[in-house]
Amino acid sequence: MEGEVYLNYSVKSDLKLVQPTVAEIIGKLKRRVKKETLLTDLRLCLEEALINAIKHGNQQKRELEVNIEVKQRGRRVEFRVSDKGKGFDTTNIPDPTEKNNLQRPSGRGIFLIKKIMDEVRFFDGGRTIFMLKYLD
Amino acid sequence: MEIKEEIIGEVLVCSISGEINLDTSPHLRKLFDKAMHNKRKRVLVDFSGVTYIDSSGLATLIEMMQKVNKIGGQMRLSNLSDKVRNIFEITKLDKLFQIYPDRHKALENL
Repeated sequence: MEGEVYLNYSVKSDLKLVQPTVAEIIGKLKRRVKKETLLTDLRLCLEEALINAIKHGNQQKRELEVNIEVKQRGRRVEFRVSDKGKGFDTTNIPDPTEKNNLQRPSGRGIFLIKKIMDEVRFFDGGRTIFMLKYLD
Repeated sequence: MEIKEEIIGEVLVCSISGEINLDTSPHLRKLFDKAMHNKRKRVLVDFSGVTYIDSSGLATLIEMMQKVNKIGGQMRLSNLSDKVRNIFEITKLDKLFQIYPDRHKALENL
C-alpha cells in the first residue's frame, strides 16, 4: 500500500485515556497492518509505553500531556511517546526475569516492549521512547 | 472481563474471560479477594476465555498467587492461548506459575 500514515496525539495524564487512545490508533493502522497478532503486539507496546509515560513520567498529573507520534510507511511502524517528567536512567532498568525480580508484581512494561519491538531507543533523558516494528 | 467461580472437589476454579489489562485488573483483584473469603488453599485459574494480557494483568496474577501462597495454598493456571502463553514465556513467568494445557491436567496436579 502506497503512502504514509502520520498521526500525532496529545493526551492528558489520565490512565482512563490509555485504552481508548490506543484503540483509536490501532484502528487507524488496521487498514495497513493485516496480521492480527502483529496488531496485538503493537497495541500492547503502545499501551505499556503510554502507561509508563503517564504513571512514572508525568506522575499522573492530569494537566501534563503525553505526546504520541505514529508513523507507518512501507514495512515500518514507528511510535514515539514523550512525557514531561524528570526522565530516568535508561541504562539501569532492572531485568524482571532475574531470579530476585521474578516474584515482583511490577516492572515488566519496558521489558515487554524491548522483547516485542524490533528496535527501542530512549531520548531526552528517558522522557521519550522510540519504538520500531517491521511488518513482515 | 468476567470471572466465573465454581468449586470442584476442594478446588476453587476461577474461569476468566475477556481482557486482563490496566482497566480490568482492579476488578479481577476485587472479585478474586471475594472468592477467596473462605481461604481456599487450592485454586485453579482457567484462562480459556482470556484474549489479552498486559503487564498490569501479570502483576495482578502474581499478587493473586502470593495471596494463595501466604495461606499455604497452591495456584495453577490452565488453558492459556498461544498469544497469552507467549507473554508468560517472554517474561519467564512460565517458570513462576505452574501452567497446564487443560483444566483436567491442572486439577490432577492440585
